[in-house]
Amino acid sequence: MGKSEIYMLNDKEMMEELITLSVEHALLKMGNPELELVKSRLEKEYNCEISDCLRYPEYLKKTLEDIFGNAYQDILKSIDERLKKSSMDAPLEQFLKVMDGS
Amino acid sequence: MKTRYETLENKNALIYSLIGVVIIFIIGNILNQDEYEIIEDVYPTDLLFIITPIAVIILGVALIFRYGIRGNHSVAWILFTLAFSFWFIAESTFDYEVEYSFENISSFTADIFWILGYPLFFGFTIFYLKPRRKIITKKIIIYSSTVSLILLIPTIYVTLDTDEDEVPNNIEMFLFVMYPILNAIILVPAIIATILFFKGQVNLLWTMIMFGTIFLLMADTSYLIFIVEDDYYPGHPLDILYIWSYIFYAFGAYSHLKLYKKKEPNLS
Repeated sequence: MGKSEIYMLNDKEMMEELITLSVEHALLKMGNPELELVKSRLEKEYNCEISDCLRYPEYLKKTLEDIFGNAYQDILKSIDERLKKSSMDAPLEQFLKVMDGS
Repeated sequence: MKTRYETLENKNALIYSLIGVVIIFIIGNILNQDEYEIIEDVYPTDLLFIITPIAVIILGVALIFRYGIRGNHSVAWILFTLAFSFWFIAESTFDYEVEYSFENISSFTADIFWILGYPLFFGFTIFYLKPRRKIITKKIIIYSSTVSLILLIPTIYVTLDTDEDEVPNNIEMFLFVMYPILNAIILVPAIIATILFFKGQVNLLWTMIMFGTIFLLMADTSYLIFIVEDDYYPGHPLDILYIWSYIFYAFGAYSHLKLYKKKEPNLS
């Protein structure tokens, strides 16, 4: 494995961590049961975790929509604000684009 | 995920509960329940005013334990449970023959607890909506307020149409008019939440709370009308609306508890 490949892997992990933290933060503002429910739905319905949603944002979007209906938009805004505080990379932009799409 | 079967099961239980209350009141009136006073000033149908708020309080306590002390919703459920605890005390201390007097402050006991319950309930709605405040637009607020005001029209009409000699005293009239107004105030965030969570599973809680509050408003408006006409008695059919409101609140809290129930650890 080359030096540049190691750097890319760490970068991806960092972005996954950032997504996880942003989603968790937005849900914990409501309460722990909300976070637990979203996590369990992702696992049950799509066999994935929040961190996997960087690759599959549509899973997270569908789960949030199913639970919170129209209020899903507010959770998205909260995630968006948190992510914007960090540098915007192409994968993050792609994630936000899919999440924002109706 | 909530299955279609579970939704139907809850819907049937709700319908049976609502019909059951009507049947109890019909039987109570046919058998002339005035002759079967359980204890002083408490009649058989009054037991529903004890059972239904207790059911809401128990579900509220379960939600407090579920949410713990973290997040806005934990505060919301604490306020929700406190509001219904106050309303339960009010129901328990209600006296059919009360004569309001500032010289006898205990004559206001039930009303004090009812009134104190409203800011707590309003606080519940505010803390629940707080994390979503960014998407509450002026349009939603105006729409919700307009619906509440429309539902207040009968109260305004009765108040303006009542002659002074029809009302026992001004304190009584002030209290009876205030309740529909307080109900209309708590209805505003309930409608806002119903719109915000539309299509989501959380919406079931808010639809139930909205209907519960509408029935409460209808009950208090009817109470005002019947009191003015001096035609309110124990087991009066309008009490059905009060009980229905508690039933809707209970089912709302139950739906939320079921949605956010603790998941069994995966042992496989």
